[in-house]
Amino acid sequence: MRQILGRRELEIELPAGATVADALRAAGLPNRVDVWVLLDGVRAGREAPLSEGAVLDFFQPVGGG
Amino acid sequence: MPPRSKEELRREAAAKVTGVLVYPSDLQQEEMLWVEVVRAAHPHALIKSIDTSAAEKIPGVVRVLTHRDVPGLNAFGIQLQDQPVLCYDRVRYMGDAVALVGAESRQAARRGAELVRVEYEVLQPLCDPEAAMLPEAVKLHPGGNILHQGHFTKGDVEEGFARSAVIVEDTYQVPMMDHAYLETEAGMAYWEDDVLVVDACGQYIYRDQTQVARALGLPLEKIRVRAPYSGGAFGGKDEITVQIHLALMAYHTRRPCKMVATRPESIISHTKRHPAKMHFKTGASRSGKLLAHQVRIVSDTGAYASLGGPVLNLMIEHAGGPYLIPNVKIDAYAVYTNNGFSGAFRGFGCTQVCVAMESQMDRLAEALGMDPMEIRLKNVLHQGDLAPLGYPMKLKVGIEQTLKSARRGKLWRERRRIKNQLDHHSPSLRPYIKRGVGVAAQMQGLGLGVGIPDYAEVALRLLPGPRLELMASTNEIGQGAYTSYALMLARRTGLAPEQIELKVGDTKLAPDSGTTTASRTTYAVGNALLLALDRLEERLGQLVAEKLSLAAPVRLRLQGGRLMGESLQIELAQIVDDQGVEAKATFHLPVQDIELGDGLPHLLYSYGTHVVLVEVNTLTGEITVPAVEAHLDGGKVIFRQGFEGQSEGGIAQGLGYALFEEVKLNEGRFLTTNFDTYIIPSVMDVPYDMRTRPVEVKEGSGPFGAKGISETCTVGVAPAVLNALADALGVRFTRLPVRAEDVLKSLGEKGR
Repeated sequence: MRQILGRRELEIELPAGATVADALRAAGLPNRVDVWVLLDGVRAGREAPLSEGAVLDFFQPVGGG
Repeated sequence: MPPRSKEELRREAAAKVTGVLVYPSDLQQEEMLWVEVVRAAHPHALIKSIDTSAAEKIPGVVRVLTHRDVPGLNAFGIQLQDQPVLCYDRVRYMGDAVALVGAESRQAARRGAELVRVEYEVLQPLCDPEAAMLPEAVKLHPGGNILHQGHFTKGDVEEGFARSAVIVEDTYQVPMMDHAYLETEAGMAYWEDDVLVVDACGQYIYRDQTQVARALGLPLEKIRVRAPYSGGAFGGKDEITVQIHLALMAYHTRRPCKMVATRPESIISHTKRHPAKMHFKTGASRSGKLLAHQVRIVSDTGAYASLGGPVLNLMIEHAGGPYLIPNVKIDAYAVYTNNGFSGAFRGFGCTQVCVAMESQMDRLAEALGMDPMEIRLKNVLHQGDLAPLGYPMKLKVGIEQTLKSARRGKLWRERRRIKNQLDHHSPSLRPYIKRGVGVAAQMQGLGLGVGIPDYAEVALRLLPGPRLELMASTNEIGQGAYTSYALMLARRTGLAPEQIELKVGDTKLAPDSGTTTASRTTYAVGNALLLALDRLEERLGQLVAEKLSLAAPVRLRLQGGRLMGESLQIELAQIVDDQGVEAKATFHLPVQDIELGDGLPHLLYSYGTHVVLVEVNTLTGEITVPAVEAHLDGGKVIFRQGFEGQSEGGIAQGLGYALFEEVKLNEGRFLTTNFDTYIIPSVMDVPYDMRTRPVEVKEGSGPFGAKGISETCTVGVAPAVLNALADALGVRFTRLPVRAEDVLKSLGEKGR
């Protein structure tokens, strides 16, 4: 994800009523099913509404041991 | 060991032993199609053409699919999507899928698969990882043949070696290993209205859902993945196996589709334990303190990435064992070849390096004239120490306790007497029987490690009855997870396990609880369900306050069918209606605050020490293992029978690694494709005398002090066998598996 975005963190301004999908678009991430989002630490769908100061983690589901 | 109480009986035990439990390979539906895969005819070749016309003419064949029929991304892979769903230009290993045949019967599907004509231009397979790393080697993937490499330096190894009184050095080789689960890869896909349902063996249904959706070009909500009870996985079902192929055939035919891999197909196609070549050089002072450790690892990841990168990272993390070493240098490579395809396997890299490290420890002890147990105890990590890679061990470290438990154990304490106990052989044979006792100690990271999101979300619903439902997506692969969840809920709520219902392993019913891997589910799901219970009680406190018109919510604790407050006690039935009361929680695994690579390092570890007794017939070379002791720190034990079951299964698998199992290939072609040539330990090979001692170092961050056990229970077994063989014969084996012919050869070399 860091490679796709070219950086580790970014701040995004969005209008009131914006959703996770809006944030993904604003971040320049293509609409891919394999980009997962944590909204304030909890797995969130594309339609989840954002509140002021929301923290989003974008990642691809990996795994490991 | 029998369960200590009815509560401790495995939840699915009766269904398993009576045969009513439905495994993925048992699934049946009306009108279903059988799906067979056309796999590569060569380990490395260019595809010139694919002709399906003859196959399509076979009576009963309904559909033949090729790469042209993959509507979404024709690739999959947990970390990198470098493996085609159906190959189009090139095949890179014998398990590569080129076409799918869906037919009314399995016979017709097989006949159809035989008649798919694929024209190849055969290429020389790349089988030597060292050669594959050279710049002039043919590239198997656009980025070259080195999938991942890690280089790590702490202190100054040269200076450490210069100060060392003894240095031991050797190259260790460990084989490719098959998971050999009882049930091969299997499942069924079908449409339920406009949702495509995939019921299949798997270890992370949410990630499988993503991989299926990506390949089919469908949104996630159009794919539902469920994981029925599966006949074993051990990491081998972590990557996609049948899921995308099943979904693809169901997508095109709109009919239920079923797949069950044959054993040869399973062995050829699914991931394996990485074979590796490991050069270890270790120096110690006269008093036995480790001073320097230099390691070079080449891990053969085969044709595709899967989890080859993270496995290599765990090799790097664990290459120094559970020891304090001031000077460390590690260079490690995971390399693409045409040798099958490797990935996750119980132990996940630790298994390989532990073979080398624990052999080195015994060799140092021998060179210094020290007791093998004492040299380990002299060097073990304690809380606050710096691990071999230099990060602090922040949590409790149980390695010393497991070693001391092993030292107190009968096998070690009485080893001199036990080694001379040969009465069961005839007097004339006794001079030719040699016995030895060996020890190995190890630690195993728990969870996915730093840098990889690692969380568990669960939901609870309390219903009248009382009945408590747990929704979690992690699934039962034989490890006993469901019983552990129910025991934790029962213990915390006072409900009986039969009042607890699990809605698990289903993307429609349960939130994302993460992977069923990395020894993590008891710890991660356990913590999440305890958090959810706190939330549930908060919610009940609000409801009680509303009902009784109190000014503020009441603090309540669920205890059996009652809610207990400081000054009140309420029957659940008064508060909870048929809708139930719900609560959700997400637990994030704590991680180190430094990041050295993907999943590197860990914060949490399980610890173990194994002691093995071997007996060798020096006339025939035959090796038997009469006894094994496992001293394991997985924190507080939640499910004792499950704990012992994991340990005993781990011992059997470890003995297989040490003495039996090797997937053999010749120029990329599999020579061992069934259990007639791929030999696993049978009931005759596993010792009757297996003792598991829980060394319960309570982990403060764990649910009831628990961590996990499912990998640390197997990792130390193989090196303990090697050390026992060295004790018995005075011969050091550096290549697994060790078979009778290896014993005879080595004794011949030694001049018996």
